[in-house]
Amino acid sequence: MLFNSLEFAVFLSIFFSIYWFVLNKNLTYQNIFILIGSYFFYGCWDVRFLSLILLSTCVDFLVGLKMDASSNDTIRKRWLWLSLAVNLGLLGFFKYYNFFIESFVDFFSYFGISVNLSTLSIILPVGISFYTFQTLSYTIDIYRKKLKPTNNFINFAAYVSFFPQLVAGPIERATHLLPQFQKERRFTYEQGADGLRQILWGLFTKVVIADNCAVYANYIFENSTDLSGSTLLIGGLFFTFQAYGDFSGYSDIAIGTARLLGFNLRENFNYPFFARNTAEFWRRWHISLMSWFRDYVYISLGGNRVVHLKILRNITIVFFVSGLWHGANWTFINWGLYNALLICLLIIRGKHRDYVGIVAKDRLFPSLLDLLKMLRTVLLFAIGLTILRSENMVQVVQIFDAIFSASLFELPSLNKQLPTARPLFILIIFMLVIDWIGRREKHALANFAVHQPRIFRYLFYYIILFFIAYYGGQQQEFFYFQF
Amino acid sequence: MKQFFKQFRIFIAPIIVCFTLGEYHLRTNNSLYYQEKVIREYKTDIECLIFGASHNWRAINPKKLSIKSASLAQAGSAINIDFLLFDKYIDQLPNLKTVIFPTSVHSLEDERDSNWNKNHLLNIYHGINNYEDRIPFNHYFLSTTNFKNYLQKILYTTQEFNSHGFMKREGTTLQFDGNNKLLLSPKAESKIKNHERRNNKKLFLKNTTKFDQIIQECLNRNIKVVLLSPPKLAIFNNIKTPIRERRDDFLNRYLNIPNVFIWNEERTFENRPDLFFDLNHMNTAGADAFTPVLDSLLNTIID
Repeated sequence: MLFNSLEFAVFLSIFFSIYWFVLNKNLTYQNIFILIGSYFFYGCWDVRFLSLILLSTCVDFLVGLKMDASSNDTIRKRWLWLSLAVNLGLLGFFKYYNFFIESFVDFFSYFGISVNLSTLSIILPVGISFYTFQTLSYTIDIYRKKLKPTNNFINFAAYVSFFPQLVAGPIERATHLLPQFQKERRFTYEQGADGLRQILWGLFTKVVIADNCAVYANYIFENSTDLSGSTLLIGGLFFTFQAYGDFSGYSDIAIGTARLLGFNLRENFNYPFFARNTAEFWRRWHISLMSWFRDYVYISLGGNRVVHLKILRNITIVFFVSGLWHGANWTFINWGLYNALLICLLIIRGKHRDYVGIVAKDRLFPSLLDLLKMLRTVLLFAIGLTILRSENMVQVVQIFDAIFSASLFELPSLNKQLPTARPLFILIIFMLVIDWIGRREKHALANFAVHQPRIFRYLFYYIILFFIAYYGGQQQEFFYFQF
Repeated sequence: MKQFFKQFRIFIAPIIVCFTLGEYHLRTNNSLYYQEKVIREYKTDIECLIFGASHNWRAINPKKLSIKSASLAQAGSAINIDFLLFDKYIDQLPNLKTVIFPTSVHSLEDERDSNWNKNHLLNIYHGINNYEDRIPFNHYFLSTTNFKNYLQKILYTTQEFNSHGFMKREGTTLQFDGNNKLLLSPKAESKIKNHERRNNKKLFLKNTTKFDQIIQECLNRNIKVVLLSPPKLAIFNNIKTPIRERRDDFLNRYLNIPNVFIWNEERTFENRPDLFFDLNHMNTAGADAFTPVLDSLLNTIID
């Protein structure tokens, strides 16, 4: 059941009505209902994989209680290892088994040694990278004594499987989300209306921007050997907008849906295209994952309280792991290392903390210098995403060969069978303008025209709805589901 | 919560009104609507059922046939869809005496699979599921299946249908005037040949096997079978391709079978471009000219 489907609209409407009108007097019933709804939502993809969520939930619930019951650090550490082993074991088996086997065999065959190991036909359970990280944050925080475990299994299971963010985040921390399951939730008009606005914008960026960009990006990447450098560069940019529209759109719908149910989820995107360097960009892109790595990997490695060289090492490790988290392919790992290189260069030059505020905070337009910096950042990110989107490293080399050749200056050429890109360019600009206007807010429509008369406000929403219906591309799965 | 719902109702009301009106307009203004209505209303009277794709749909005006007829032919359809429709309706038409199946070029080598853009219409009007799996939820409404396409239909189309689903007025200004670029192009022949190359033997075998069964079922039920190829233009008819030979071979198998009639009318108006929409589709004037021809042929086989 995709967020951008009528099925989900019906599911959410029914869920919302029962949740607030039938069960609003009883928190336990509401949480049980969330749990049932979430398992149903996930089961719509593949019922078999519900057992994995249940396993992860049971193990971490038990581990949490056991760690809390013991004051012996050795015993606590053993329980933590059990949680890590189960969660990372599941992730490792479903996501990385074949990759490591293939890489192992390739490595030995390079030296002329034949190793006979066969890969398995494994289906990747959707969202496994997200919910395992979410449950891990629970056990790690209990181990670190930052969190008291819950003894209410329903609340914990509902926290792990909470359907708005189950399959593609934002990755929530137990310290932030779990308490919200334990206290009474009230529906307010402002929260409900804001949730709907965020869902609307999420649908626009997903259905209009991402799904349409996907048509061009898919064509360009699938035919990369026949296309000029300029076309391939445009393919990278199309994919950049696809990835942003897709993932930030999903996050907006997830956060908006949660708000309708009385929950506040963490921000996952903070207008990354308005970042002036790569360090700022990564503070604004997939925030929940990057902050997870910061808190549980980077800081565990010493963070920035170590010598300069070790900071660079820690950054490299974080981005290496981040690349690996995205998938079992050398393209993902090299994408991570490429970003690590960009950040390390900024750290070496002492530029990584240059931009922490909002660009052009008190101005309507950015300065020319800021604009150029933003363009440079997006271009650098697009180059990185070209690595991530490629099938393998052979294709990466082929694409960059073409990009850094004379064909970069040829006129880009697209298949005549593809729809004209002109409306899409206009819609991308529309998205960037609305994002720019709303860049001080939590989401683009949070404060957009709210002080205008209702008729203007509604007219604007109708226009967005019209764009969604009229320009909506062919329904595609969310790109981040594969991670 | 009250305020939220009040505001939400105000916001959503115009959308629901527009959606409902648009959906109603779309559902009652297309040829499938009228075709299904004819079948539903005249179940016990229908004597002749016409299947096929755009060639038959455009060439035959069922209302002008002297026996009570209904057409299930549709633009873009294919023989596998005809088989589904046949299975659906054959038991519901007790007075059926004749069925007309298409045998135009392509007819035996085409297939419409789960991705066919008219599958939702097939489900909405005939209750036939041609999807591989369950029917996508948004395909239960025309406007949500393909909003862009249907909005353009509401805004721009001038198509009009008669009570039998025949298009009595073209939705576009396209009218063959003898100056068609394709006709004048020296590459016309190679273009048509290229177009016909996409068809394949595998589908031909699959379709003709099923076709044999359907014909046999009709004969068992004492229903006459007409294998019809309506008129085409000469430039189209003069081309020889393997798929046409395969089609003719298939038809030859039924040459001497009682109650099976092979009416190849491809050359009937082949030098009358004013009757055509393009090289192989008749326009409304063409249908006006060809339907009486078909009617007289049908009269020769009626008991």
